[in-house]
Amino acid sequence: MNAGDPAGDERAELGALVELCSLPRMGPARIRALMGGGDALGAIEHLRRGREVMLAGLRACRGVDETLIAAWRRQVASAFDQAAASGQLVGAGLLDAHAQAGIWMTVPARTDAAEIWESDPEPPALLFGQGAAIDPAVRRVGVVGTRRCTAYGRTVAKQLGAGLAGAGVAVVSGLATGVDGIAQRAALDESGQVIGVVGSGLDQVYPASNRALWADVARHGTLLSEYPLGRRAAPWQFPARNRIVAALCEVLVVVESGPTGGSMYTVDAAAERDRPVMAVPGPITSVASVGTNRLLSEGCAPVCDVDDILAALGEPAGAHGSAASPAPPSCELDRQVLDELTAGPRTLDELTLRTGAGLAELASALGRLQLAGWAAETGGWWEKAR
Amino acid sequence: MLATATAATLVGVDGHVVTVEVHTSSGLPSFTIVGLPDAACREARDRVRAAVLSSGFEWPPGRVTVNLAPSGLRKGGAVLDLAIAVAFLTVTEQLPAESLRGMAFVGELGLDGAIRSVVGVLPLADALRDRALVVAPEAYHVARAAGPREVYAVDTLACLVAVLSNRMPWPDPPPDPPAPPPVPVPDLRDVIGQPSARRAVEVAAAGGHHLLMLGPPGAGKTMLARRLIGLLPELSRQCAMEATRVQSAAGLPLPTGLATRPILRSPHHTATVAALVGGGTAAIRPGEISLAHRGVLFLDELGEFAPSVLDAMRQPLEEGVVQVSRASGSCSFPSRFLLVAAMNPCPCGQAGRPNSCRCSDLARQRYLRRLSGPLLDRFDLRIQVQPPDPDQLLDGTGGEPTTVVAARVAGARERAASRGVEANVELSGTQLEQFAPLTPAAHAALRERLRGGLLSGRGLHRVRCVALTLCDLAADEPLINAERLAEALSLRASVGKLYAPAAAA
Repeated sequence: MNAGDPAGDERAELGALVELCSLPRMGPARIRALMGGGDALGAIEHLRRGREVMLAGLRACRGVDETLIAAWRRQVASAFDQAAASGQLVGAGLLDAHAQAGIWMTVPARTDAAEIWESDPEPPALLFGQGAAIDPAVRRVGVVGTRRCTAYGRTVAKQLGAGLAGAGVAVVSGLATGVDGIAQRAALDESGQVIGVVGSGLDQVYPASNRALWADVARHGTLLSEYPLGRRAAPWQFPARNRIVAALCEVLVVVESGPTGGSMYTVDAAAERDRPVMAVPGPITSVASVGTNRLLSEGCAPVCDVDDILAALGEPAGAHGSAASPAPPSCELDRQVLDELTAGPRTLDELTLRTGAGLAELASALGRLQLAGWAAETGGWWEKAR
Repeated sequence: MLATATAATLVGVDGHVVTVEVHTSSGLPSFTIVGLPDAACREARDRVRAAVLSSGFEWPPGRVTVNLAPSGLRKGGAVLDLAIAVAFLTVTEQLPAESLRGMAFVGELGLDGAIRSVVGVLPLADALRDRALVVAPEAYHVARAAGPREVYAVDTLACLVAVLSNRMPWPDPPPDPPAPPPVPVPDLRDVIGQPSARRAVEVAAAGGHHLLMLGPPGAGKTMLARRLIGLLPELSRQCAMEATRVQSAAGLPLPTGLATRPILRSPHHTATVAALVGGGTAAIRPGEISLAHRGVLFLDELGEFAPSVLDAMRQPLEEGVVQVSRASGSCSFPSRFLLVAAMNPCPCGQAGRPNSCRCSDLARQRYLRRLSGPLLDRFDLRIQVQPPDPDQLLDGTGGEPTTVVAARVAGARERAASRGVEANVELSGTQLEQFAPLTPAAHAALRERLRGGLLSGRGLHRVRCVALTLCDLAADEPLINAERLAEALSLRASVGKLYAPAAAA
């Protein structure tokens, strides 16, 4: 091994780190405990040799028991055996596999954007990325929300995503179904910058329906993950992903969220990191807005416009992005229908019953509202879209 | 010694003429049937022998060989019993040979000599239409419907021999069955509220548009489907013949002879591909889609059907005919039916309301993915059915009765007939251009929708077709204005985009 060569040293260190990251149930806190202020190369050596003194920190971590340590030691030992057999560095195979897939790796604290992570309580040990590196000069706003968004949430997510892109602000989000994905797609459509953080290996697309979006973010923006190739999505990895979203953004905007859920985890993580949290007000009758409305009552700033977010960032408000609301409906029936939809989603039958209008008239009214962007229909249910 | 008698056997839904040849010779007593008989047909040996003996005739000792010509055709069932018996009685000189000339015999024999009806009397009688036909009394009306030269109903072998020997006249035919009631199915009046569902059912009946109903269990989807049958007009003679042919071949009861009312078939969602489109190993039998020919096929819980089963229906839906091929041969069955389907919007079903469903994203996507896009495209009408409003349910009076709506439907069907089709659903794009012009306002509305991605090219054609049916129902000029178009669009819910990926949102 080419000891003494600085580039070689760095590669050896990275290889050890990748090897540590690909251990099952190994997270940043455990890696830090194992390293104990030293480097990864040393840490993996401790693990292989089972040096009791060095493993004490790891044992102190919650959820780590002897069977887990034994499993890790077995995997590390086999990695060392493989490396010895091929005459290569430990982790060289993993490094090559990632390089082949076009994935770069950074230790967050050593990048240009190191200040993001300086005071972070739990920075990732290693970040895997595709696409451009994070440019610290570009302002970043997190746009998150429930996967089960309403038509209103879709409209707002789209509007904010496009508006932020128009203002030259990067949209940070989790590439999930619903608000996350819609906001990022809208930003991409406006040729804006996007940073997508995912909760699985970069080759494990989840949800599969977002495959195209995933690829577009990797091509035109930055796709990030804390996990090595091949790591499947697992429930505990999503809250971990959300803390990275929270850390990366300068302002977090919650578009729609129920009282609990992933978005609320992101909010907590953002609060822990002193990132301002803003929320989009929603109808008090909508389950999807209970969380955001609660955030507002707890003192979060409301987002009624892209300019509100830009003001929070300290950026000048511009004419960019904030799409003007469509003209209010002129016809009496249209207004009546819209009033009905304000209270929640309705079927055609319910609307007939409540407005007393005939099917044909009602259909015309709904058609007008849909074209004007006031209402949206899914599976026979009509919702107010604004 | 040799004698022949004429009968027919069923292949798919078609009858094929079979000549039964019986030969006797001296030798050790035996009874052999050759000419590709199946198991049931081979058992005719024992039935015929017992029937002949118990009817008081003789079975002289010796070799009996029965050949069923053409020998390459597979013969199934007990349909040839009667022909074998009369040919045997002729060859043993218990029956005059000339009495069988111009006659055909279709029936199964009981051990006591009773003549019983068989499956597929209508296609069999149709194949034998240039002969005088002898059938069991139960099969008389169905056989008559096929229009052969003469049909005689005889109940026992002894009676038949007496008639053929000129010892007695042909027995009187059984009395005509009572006429079916004018509205034989549940009335639409029972449906309370649910205006859009009522409307969709009416439009489906008028235009032959396939209908998909989304909604929680107990919302009344099955109730609506059962009432759709009553809205359909009587079948024309041609259609009734086609429908009866399949129903007869499948052994469905046909109490009135010709099935003049459209039929409702509602197979359970565990149905296999063979059960739905037809199949079988020994004999190829028509499936549910053919049994529903010229009627309604109701698929409840559409999401629970196996995707392969649903996709197997796509081609028959398009072409109105299904070609079923097996190693033993291939049959084509008619399958022009009105497809009515009901499903829950998601596995939990209780909460179709957006954002209130408790199913996981994956479960929901998997549920909707069972419906392939091409199949979903076939449904011109897709509506959300919610349980009726409690207040309406308690004090509301029912809506229009079936007779009123059926009259409108009949009017619409007449208008469709003037365009040269059974129903509007069969109109092609160019015909629509010709028969259903758009007003400038409707034209503009459509263009805006197409631009906004709210409508696909195929959807455009279907929406126009439904709008034309709406015009027909209103007995209006076939000119599609913005309001008709809006109503047609409102009857076409965007299923499948329910939880669309962000990319498509």
